[in-house]
Amino acid sequence: MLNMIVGIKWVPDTADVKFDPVKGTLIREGVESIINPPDLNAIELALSIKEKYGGKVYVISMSPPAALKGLKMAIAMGADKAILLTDRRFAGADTLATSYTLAMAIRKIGSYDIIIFGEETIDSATGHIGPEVGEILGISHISYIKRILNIDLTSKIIELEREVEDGVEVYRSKLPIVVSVGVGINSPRYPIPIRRLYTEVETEKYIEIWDLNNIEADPNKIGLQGSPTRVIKIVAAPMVQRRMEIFQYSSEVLNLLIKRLKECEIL
Amino acid sequence: MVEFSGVCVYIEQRRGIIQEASLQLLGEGRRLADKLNVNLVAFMIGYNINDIINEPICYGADRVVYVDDEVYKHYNVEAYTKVLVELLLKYKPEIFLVAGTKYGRELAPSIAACLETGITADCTGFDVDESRNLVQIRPPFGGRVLAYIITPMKRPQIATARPNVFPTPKRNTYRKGEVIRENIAIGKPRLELVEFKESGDEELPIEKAEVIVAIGRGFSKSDYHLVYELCKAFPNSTIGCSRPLVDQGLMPRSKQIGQTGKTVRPKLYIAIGISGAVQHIAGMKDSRYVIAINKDPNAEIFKFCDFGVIGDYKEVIPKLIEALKSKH
Amino acid sequence: MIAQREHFIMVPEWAILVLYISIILSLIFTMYGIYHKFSIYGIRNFNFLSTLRRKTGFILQSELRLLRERYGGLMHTLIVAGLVVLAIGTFLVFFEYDILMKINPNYRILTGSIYLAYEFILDLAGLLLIIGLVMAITRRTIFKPSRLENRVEDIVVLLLLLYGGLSGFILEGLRIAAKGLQYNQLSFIGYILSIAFLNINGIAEMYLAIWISHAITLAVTLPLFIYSKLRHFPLFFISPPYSVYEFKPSFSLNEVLKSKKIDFKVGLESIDALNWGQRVNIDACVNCGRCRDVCPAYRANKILSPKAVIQKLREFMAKNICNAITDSALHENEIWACTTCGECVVTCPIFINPLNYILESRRYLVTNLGKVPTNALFNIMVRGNPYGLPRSDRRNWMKDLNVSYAKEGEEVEVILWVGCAGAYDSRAQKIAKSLVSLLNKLNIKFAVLREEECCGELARRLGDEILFQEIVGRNIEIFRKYKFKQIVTLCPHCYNTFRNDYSDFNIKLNVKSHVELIYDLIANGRIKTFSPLNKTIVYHDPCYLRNYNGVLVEPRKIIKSIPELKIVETSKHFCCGGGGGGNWIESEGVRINVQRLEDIAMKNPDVIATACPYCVSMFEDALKFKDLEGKFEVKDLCEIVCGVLR
Repeated sequence: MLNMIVGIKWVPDTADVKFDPVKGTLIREGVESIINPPDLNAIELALSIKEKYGGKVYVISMSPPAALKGLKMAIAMGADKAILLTDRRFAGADTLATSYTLAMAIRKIGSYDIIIFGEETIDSATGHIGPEVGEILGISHISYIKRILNIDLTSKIIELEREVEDGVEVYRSKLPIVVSVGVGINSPRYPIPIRRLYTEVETEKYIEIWDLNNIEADPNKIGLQGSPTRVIKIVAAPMVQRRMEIFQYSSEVLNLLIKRLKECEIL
Repeated sequence: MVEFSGVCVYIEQRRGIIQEASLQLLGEGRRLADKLNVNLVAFMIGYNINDIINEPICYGADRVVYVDDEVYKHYNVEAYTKVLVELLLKYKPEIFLVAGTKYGRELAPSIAACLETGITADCTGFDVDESRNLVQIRPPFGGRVLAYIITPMKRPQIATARPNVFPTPKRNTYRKGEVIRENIAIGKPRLELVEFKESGDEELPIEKAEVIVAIGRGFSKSDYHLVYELCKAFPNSTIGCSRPLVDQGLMPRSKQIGQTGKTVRPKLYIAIGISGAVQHIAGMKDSRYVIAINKDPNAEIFKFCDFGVIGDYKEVIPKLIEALKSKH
Repeated sequence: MIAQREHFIMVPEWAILVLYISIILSLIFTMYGIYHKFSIYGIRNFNFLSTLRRKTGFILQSELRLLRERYGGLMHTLIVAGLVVLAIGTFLVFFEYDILMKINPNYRILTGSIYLAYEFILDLAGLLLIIGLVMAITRRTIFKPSRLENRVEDIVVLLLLLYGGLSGFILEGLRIAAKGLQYNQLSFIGYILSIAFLNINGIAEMYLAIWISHAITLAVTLPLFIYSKLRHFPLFFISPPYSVYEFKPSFSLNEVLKSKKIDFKVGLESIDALNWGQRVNIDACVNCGRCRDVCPAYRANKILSPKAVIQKLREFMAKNICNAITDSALHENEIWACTTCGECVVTCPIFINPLNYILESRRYLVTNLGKVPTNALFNIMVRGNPYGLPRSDRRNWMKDLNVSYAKEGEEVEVILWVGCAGAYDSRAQKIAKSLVSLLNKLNIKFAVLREEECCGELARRLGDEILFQEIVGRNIEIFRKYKFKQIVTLCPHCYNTFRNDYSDFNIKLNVKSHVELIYDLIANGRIKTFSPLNKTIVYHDPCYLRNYNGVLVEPRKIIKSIPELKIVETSKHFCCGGGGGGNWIESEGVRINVQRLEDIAMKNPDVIATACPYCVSMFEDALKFKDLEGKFEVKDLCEIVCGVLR
């Protein structure tokens, strides 16, 4: 029996987020939120481990209440239970404070063998949560894994594989472990519609809502005060304007191309 | 906070080869150290790395602190975290920079959590403010905005930057500096490396390629050798394709770039005989520089390229290969 | 001597007894069969009269469908006409002898000129019957079309009926030869035969033997109208008429969310889910295979045969096999191969709807088990379009165009619903631009909805009924915010779903396809003339306009009103392969769109015209696939009209 906990983030669909240059802030109004795509792969990994080895899959998210929609989707995919960690006091957290809060909630859940995160989010794209949660809980952690090779349930040892730029590493570790996964390592299954309906109609059966009082956490390490980093300003990024230097073929044109490649330090 | 001083860069080495990304950060670290008027220190970990411990000095470091033991022969996040945490606690730099390779992006936050300090990932620029804080500039939200971040109250201020964001500094063989060896013993890590399979000459997976030569429907099967030749002109390059070739069974799905295929962000993307349907563009729009070669002047791809050549690829590519060879 | 029906001549009492006993046994057997069938169908609340009333129009429609194949249609008409007339004739004899004459021996109806006419008509009917049966037997034994299987019951039924017909004539001939009856020239066949029989010995014995065999044949044939494929005849009159879009959802999402109760089943898990109408419908299948011959998926890869779907369900029903259908009777690749073109539904002469069962199987697979064959549904759920492209890109098609958003409170004549293809697909965006240009040139006040997202059609066709109803709810709320006279769609799928699927949900939308809009504009003179276009054109009907909504005349009239434009028709309509998920599911083997392109290419047109963005996309893909890009122009009707508008 393996206890798996998947951490998911309910993020604004970043392709729709626009920047207000006057206010210097991001316009999130009217932007729909989605489950961070690699988190779907994380859920799928947990579910396929459950199918193979047996166990339970909990999904947890530190988000505002709107994330219930995402948690319902996770349950519909096959997760057993979901926990929404929501509290005003969690707001303003950077990755360290977020990891701390998640780690405390995971500790409160109690039993965990494999904790799975998406390797990075489409909004902040840091890749921090997996390693930070691992260190805070004092357990093994490894990012960007490609697949689980084997889990020995008696000795509680997991063997897994991950790809780096120049090769493939095979690791072995005693459970518990935190892993993070990327898009493309599996195909997330479709949330079963009738199960989605059940989560709407019997929400309490599947989803618990926790706030700071439900977890044992040091209030100085959560939210804004627990965040060592601060964003001081946001500006519009320079647009990727393609130069569109288009010419009819000739040998001079190729010379110009080589020149451009050198200017861009590609050659 | 006063006791923290100096800029420190982690120099990642793999099997005796220093990663260029670390040298790029070293260059940036030098600039910051000069601005702050402090020393630049390099940390290195490995086994039998005597041949390379002086390299960071040649690239701008004032001091190299390294650990050399068989236990550290191959990267291990648990082991390396423990070592670097100890080194950081001892040497107390105010800034710690790590190259954002796969290893670096996992190692840096691991260290940050241990030291309960701030970390910023994938920075594209750095600066120093009036309070000597490191200003960390990065593009969240898919690159739509630039965020300016500081770590005002905690030290060290940790940051990672991806390869090829900063230029590689020039090497100066004559530069002098200090080399210190530390001996740090750690227990057996819970996370054990069982095996490392080097990918060597195997096909470079398309997401990792720095240069992609992509072909579309307009490309004839009998001309494939042209594309292979073109690839050879660039290191770390591979071939990709648009969907129709995969549908026709001419190319494997692993080579498909586009909405239903792979998303890539190479340094250079060369699109040959590709019309530029929006589903294909979605997969490669983050390429740094895009070249399009197509005989149809109205092809959509020309709206998404930096440099476009209207012509028959059968003529253009051989000449391009020639030109590349001669310029090198 | 007046001509009148002679009853039971040359037949001794005991033989008459044999007849009556056979008939009674036959009736008992038949009654038992009916009872058994009713228990399989589980008929409750059946209103015979209202069903019968609906049926009379259907008889003509059925006949028209049969006649689509000249040989088969004629053959069947002859057989049915023959049998029906003979049956009525036999009933009249029974009525006169066993009822009227028992009251008063002189109450006769079959006398005089009525009798003469009767004899002539019956002989004619018998002749037609035999000609039809011979045509049928010849077809099964000599022509052997691939769609016809020769099962035992097929041959037995034909031979029995043939024997019944032939023996009837022989009996007539023998009788005339024996009794030398006057007025018998009108029984012309019998008369001709009697000449041959005139000098045979033992006519009476022959007569008796054949008479008994004829009686037994009759007795055996009657139950066959329940026990064999002949059941399609009575079942035709009680089966509810299924139209192409007969998919009533088994639940209402709003009700479920209000009541917080989930007490229904979705989709076709096993035959238990079939209602009595569907059971009657399925049982009526005679295995003719016409549906299979018009199925584009069958023509391409033979994976899916609508006939096989019905026959498998029939078998499960007959044997009361309650296993999950998708495990055993239908394979998933059959279920997903269907393009939902509806051709099988509009072809079946007995109004069986194989599409219904495929879609209900999809509902079971997807709504209950989440087994989807494409990411398109997830994309709709998360981003409001099947392409998975960002919501903020949905308005890109409008850039540089004179298009405004509808304003709450202000009435607008037309809401233009471009659909996901029109908004995101680069080819379809050109169609949208054409339509906008057309509307602007004609000064028609239109607006688009700022909140437009997927209409949900794909969700319903792929079987996620819950997602579909969520989308319907969302879109109905949006429609209710605005005042408009009609919605004009660019895509027949959006059109069909608004018109026929949304009506299940307490809203009646006045929706028009862009084809009908153009047709109306020509009809009421708002478009006066076109420039000439000297080309040959094939118009490919989008299935969702033609089969689902009967729109096939209007597009052709539009084409015909363009001077110098010559229209040619393909011999048969086949789907382009894009519907029912076809555009989104990876297909293997022969492609439906390529086959349809080949049909059209045979007519060698300059232009392939259609009225659906999926069809356009499918044809352009097919041209690319066959390396024939540019060989034919592929255009939507509104692009053509826009091009020739003066």
